[in-house]
Amino acid sequence: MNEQLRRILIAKRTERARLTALPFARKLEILDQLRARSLELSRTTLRRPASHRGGGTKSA
Amino acid sequence: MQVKKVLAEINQMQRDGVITGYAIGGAVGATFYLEPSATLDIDIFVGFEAGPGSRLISPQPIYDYLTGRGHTARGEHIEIAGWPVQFLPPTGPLAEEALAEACATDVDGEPTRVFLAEHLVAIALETGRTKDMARILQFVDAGVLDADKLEDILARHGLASRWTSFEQRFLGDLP
Repeated sequence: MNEQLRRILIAKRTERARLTALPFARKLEILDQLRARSLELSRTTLRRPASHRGGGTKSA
Repeated sequence: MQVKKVLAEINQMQRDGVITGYAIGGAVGATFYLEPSATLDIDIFVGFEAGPGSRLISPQPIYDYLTGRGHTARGEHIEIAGWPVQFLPPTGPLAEEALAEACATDVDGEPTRVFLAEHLVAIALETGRTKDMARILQFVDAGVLDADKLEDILARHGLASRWTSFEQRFLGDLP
């Protein structure tokens, strides 16, 4: 394992430990935010229509 | 915070006598002990009395109560404050024990109960999906498990051999 990868793994472990040590209420706020982000992503990306239906004007 | 609103509704439901008690399980319960990770729903294990003359326990009174308070039923879930919440009666001795021994805590002053880490791991092992195995590894990695307590639970609920298989498969290369 090279030095850079080792530093990345240590940083990830440190961040996980920091998150684990947060109060339960703060962790639940993060769950709220993660859920809101997931819903937003599903609305804006996955379910976006492939065509431009409804986005233009009808000529007739 | 939306989860706090969910807990406030469930606490009100308990005060109104619809359920006798509850505890948070699943990924949200695991968040009490681990770093938060995204989840689709909230699993609430509930205790309640069987109907008169019946040994069957049904979550229907919960659904009736919550829809009566304006929440929407969506399949197996009730949506409360934007969160799909699943109410699960304990289906065996392990979940019954987990419910009885859950840890009391609070969320910004809103009281609640969460399954013990060792029960969450035992239930995950019993359930046995890929995501359950991943969660068990998170618990092991976080070092939050009481090994003696976990061993006792696994032995009493017939999960010791399954744990041995799990160890051999996933923990064999740990130092």
